[in-house]
Amino acid sequence: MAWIIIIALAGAAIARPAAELLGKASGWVMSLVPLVLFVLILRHAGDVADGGAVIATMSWVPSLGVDLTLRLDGFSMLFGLLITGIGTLVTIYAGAYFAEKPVADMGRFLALILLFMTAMLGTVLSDDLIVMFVFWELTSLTSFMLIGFDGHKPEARKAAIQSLLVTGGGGLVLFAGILLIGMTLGTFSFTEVLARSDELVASPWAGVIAVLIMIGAFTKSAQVPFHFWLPNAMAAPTPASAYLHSATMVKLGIFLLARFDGVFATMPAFGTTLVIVGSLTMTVAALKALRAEGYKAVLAHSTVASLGILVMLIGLDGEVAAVATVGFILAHALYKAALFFCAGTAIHATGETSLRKLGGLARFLPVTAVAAVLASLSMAGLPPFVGFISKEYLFEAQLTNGWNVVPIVVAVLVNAVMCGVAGVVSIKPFYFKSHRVDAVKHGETPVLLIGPLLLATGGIVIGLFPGGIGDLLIGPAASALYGSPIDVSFQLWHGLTPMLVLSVLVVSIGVAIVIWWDAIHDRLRRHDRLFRLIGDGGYHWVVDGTLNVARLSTRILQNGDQRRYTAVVVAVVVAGLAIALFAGPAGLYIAAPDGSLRVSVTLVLLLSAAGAVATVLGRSLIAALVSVGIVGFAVAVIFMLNGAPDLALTQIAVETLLVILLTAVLLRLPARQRHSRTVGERRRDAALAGAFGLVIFLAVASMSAIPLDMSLTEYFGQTSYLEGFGRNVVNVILVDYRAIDTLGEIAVVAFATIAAWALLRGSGPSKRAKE
Amino acid sequence: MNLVYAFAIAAQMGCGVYLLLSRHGMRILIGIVLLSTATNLLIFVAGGLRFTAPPVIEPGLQVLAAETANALPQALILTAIVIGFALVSFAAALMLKTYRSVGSVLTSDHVDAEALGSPFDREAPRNA
Amino acid sequence: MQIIFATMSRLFFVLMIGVSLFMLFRGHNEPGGGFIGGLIAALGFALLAMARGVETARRALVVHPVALMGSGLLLAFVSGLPGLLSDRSFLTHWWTEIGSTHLGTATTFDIGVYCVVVGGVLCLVFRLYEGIEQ
Repeated sequence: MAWIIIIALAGAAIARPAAELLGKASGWVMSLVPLVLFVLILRHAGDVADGGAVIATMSWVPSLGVDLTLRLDGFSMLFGLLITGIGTLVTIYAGAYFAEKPVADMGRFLALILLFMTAMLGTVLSDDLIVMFVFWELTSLTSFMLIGFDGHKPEARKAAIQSLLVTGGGGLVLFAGILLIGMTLGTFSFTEVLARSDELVASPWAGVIAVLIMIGAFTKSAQVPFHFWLPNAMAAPTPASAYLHSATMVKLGIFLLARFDGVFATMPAFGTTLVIVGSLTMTVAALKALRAEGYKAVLAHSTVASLGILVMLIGLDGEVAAVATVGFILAHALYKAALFFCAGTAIHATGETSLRKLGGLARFLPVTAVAAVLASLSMAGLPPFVGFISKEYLFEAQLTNGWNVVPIVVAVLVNAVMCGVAGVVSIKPFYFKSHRVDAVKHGETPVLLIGPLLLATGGIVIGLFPGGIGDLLIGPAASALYGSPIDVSFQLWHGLTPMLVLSVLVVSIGVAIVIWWDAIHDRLRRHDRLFRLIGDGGYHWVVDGTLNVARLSTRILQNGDQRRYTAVVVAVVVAGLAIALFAGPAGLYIAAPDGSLRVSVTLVLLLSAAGAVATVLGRSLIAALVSVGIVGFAVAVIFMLNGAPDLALTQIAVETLLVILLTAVLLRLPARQRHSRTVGERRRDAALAGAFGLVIFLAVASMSAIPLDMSLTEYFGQTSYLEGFGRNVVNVILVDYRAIDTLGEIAVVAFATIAAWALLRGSGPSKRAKE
Repeated sequence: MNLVYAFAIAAQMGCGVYLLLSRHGMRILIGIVLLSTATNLLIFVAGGLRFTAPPVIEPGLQVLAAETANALPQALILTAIVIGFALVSFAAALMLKTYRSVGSVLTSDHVDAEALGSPFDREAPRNA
Repeated sequence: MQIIFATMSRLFFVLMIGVSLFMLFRGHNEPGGGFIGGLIAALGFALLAMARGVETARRALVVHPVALMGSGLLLAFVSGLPGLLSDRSFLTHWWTEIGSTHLGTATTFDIGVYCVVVGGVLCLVFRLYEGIEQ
C-alpha cells in the first residue's frame, strides 16, 4: 500500500519535466498517475467490504517511534477514490484549461496538483497521527501555492496568505491536540487511540483535546468562525478550486471529525458543539451565497454551507447519520466538482467572472450547459439524482435523532437556498436572456467536457442504480464511520415519508428563490453591516493587531542605538537574576558574617572596589586606564593571597600588556573629552548599573550557601603526578586533562589577534610615507 | 569574608556596566575589562576559598596534599584571562579602525549599519 | 631618563626572555607554564618595541609574529597526534623518562601555547606601536 504514496510522489516529481517534454498532451499523460492509483485503491474494495481495514507498516523515524503505518478502511477508501478519481478528471481538464498558457505554467500546476494529491492520500491513509499531521500541513502548503498560483495578482497573494494562516495555524492547533493525545495515551497510532478511547475521554485533558481537534478541523473545513478563507481562495485556477476547495481538501476537516467522532462518542458535548457550529455555518454561508456576485463565489459559499451540513451530520448519532454523512460526501463531491468545471469553462470562454453578467451561454457551450443542469439537479436534491438520496438521509438522520426543531428548520432553509443556488448557477448563465453574451473567446472542447459530463452523469447513474455503489462504497464507509457493520439499503425511493415532505418543501422554496433571485440579491446587498460582521473582519483584526504589536516592540527595542541594546540586555539579566534569587527554588540566602575576616584580603578587595569607582568617576581616559590597572593588580594580589600564583602572574602580565596596548590606542584618539551622555542619561545608567551591582552582590552572597562538588578537583589532585607526571595541578589540567579545551582557546587567541592584525593594516609608517 | 568578596565583585561589575552603557568607545572598552576581571574573580570565589596553599604536589609526595586551593577554577580562569585579553585587544583594534574610517569614537555617530530611531519612521519617506 | 630606558631595555629584554623560558619549562611542576611564559616574553618584546622602536623588536623576534602564532598552533595540534596512535585518543600525551626528568608531548603542547601567546600579543603590540613617535 506504500506504493500508493510513492507513485503519487513520483508523479508529482516528474510532472514538470513531463510538461516541458509533452506540451499540450501532458494533461492526458499525467492523468494516468491518479488513474492507476484509483485502480490500486479500488482493488482493496473486497478487503474493507465488511467494515475491516487493511494495515501496512514500515519504520520511518524509529528513534521517535514514528512509523509510516498506512490504514485503509471503508471511509478512507471513499476519500481515496474521490481524491484519485476527481484527481484524474482535474488533471485532464487542466490540460485543456492551460492550453493557451505557457508550458511552464501547466507543468507547475500539474506538479502542485499531484503533490497535493500525495498529501491528501497520505492524510487519509496514515494511521500514525504525527504522520497524518505532516501530510495535513502539506495539503495546507500546496493549497497556499495553488491559491497564489497567479502570484502577480495582489488579491491572489492576499487570499493565499489568508488561507495559509488559517489552515496552517489550525493545523498547529491540531498538532497540539495530537501531542496531548500522545502524552495521555503514550501512543500516536490512531487504531490504538480508537481502541482506548474510554481512557482518553476519562483523562483530564479530554476536553482540551476535543477542542483543539475541533479547531483544527473547523479551520480546514471553513466552519464559523473560520469560514471566510474559502470564498477568498477562489483566486486559485478553477481546476484547483474544483479539486481542493470543494471536493477534497476542505473535506479533510470532516474526515478528521468523523474519525474522532468514534473516539469522543461518549462525550455528549462533542456532538452538540458540532451540531451548533454546523448549523451556524450553514446559515451564514447560505446568506452569503444569496448575496455573492461571482460565479465561483456563489459556488464557494454553497460549499461552505455543505460543509456545515456535514459537520452537523457528524454531530448526530446513529447509523442513519453515518450513512447520510457518507452519501452526502459522495454526492457533494460529484455535483460540486462538476459545477466548478462548468463554471471554469464559462469563465474561460468569456473572461467574465460575475454571475450577473453571464447569460445565454448555452448557444456557445451546449454540452457544458447540459452537464451544469444535470449536476445542479443533483445539488437541488431532485430525484432520480444521488443528491436526492443523500438529502433524504440527511432529514432522516435529523428526525431520528430527536433533535429539537431549530436545526431542522435551518436544514430545510439552507437546503432550499442550495436548491436555489443550483438553479441559478446552471440556468441563469446558460439559458437566461438577460446579459446575453454575444461572443466567446474559447468554445468548449471535448477535453474540457470529460470531467463535468462524467461527474454529472455519475450523479444520475448512482441515483438510478444505488445498490452497487451502496455495497461497494457507502456501506463499508458508513460501517467504518459507525464502528460496526451497518446493513445499508441505499435506496432512491423511500416511500411516502416525512422526509419526502421536507424534500418537497425544500424544492418549492428553492424554485421561489430562483425566480426572485435578483430581488433577494439586491435586498441582501444593502445590509452591509451584517455581512461585515460575519465576514473576515476578525481575521484582519488579529493579523493587523499582531503586526502592530510587532511594530511597537521593534520601535521600542530596535532603535539603532547601541546604548539601548546594552541597557535592554542588562535589564533582562537583572530581572532574570532577581527572579531566580527571590522566586527560585533555592531562595535568597545571605550567610551571616562568619568572622573569618582576613585583614590583608579585605584591604585589597576594598582597593579594587575603589579602583573601579575611580574608573567611573575620572574624566580623563588616561586616569581611567590607570584605575582599571589598579583593579587588575588588586585582583592579582587576591589570587596570590588565595593560593593561585599562576593566576596572579598571568593577571599581572595581562594587565601590564593591556595598559601598554590601550595607551597606544589612546594616543591615536582625540584627547579632548566631553560628556557623551546627558545628566539624565547618566542618572538612569547609574540606576541600572546600581541595580546590576545589587543583584550580583545578592547572588554572590547567597552562592556560598550552595555545597561545592569537589570530586573532580580531588581526582585531578590524586592523579596529576601519577598519570600526568606534573606537580603543578593547574598546569596539568591545562596541558593534559583539558588540553583540547586549551587548544581551542589558543586558537581563539590566534584568530582574534590575526583579525586585529588585519584590521590595523596600513597604519604603519609605510602608509605615512605615501602621504 | 564572602560578603566583602561579594561587595568587591558587585562594585567592579556595577562600574563595568555603567561604563558599558557609555557612548564613548574607549569607556565601553574599559567597562569590558572591568567586567571580565570581576567575572574571573567571581569564578574564583565560586570555587571555594578554604585553603591558601597553591595546588602544587610537594616533592616527595605522589598526590596533592588535602589542604590546598581548588585547582580546577584556577585552570579555567587562567585561560579566561588570556581570552579576555584577546577579546579586549580585538575590540580595541576594531574601535581604532572605526575611528579612522568614521572619525568619531561615539557610538551615536556609528550609523552606517543601522541609523538611530525606529526603523518604521524611515519607511514613510522611503516609500513616498 | 629616555637614554637610561633605552640602554637598560636591552638588558631587561634578555632577562625577561630568560625568565619566560624558565617559567615555560618549570610550569609542569611549579607555578608557570606556556601562558605565563608567553605573556612575559611578549612583555619583553613590547618593552623593546617601546624603547627602541618596533623595527628593533621585529628583528629581535627574527620570525614574523603571525608565523610564530601559526607554528605554535600547529605544534600544539601535532603534539596531540601521537595519542591517536597509542590509544586513539587525541591529546593523550606520551611520556619518556630521562634520568629523573619526565619528558613528553605535554611539554611540546605547552611550547605551542607559548608561541601562540607570544605571536598573538606581538601582532597587536607591533601594529599599535608602529608609527608612534617615541
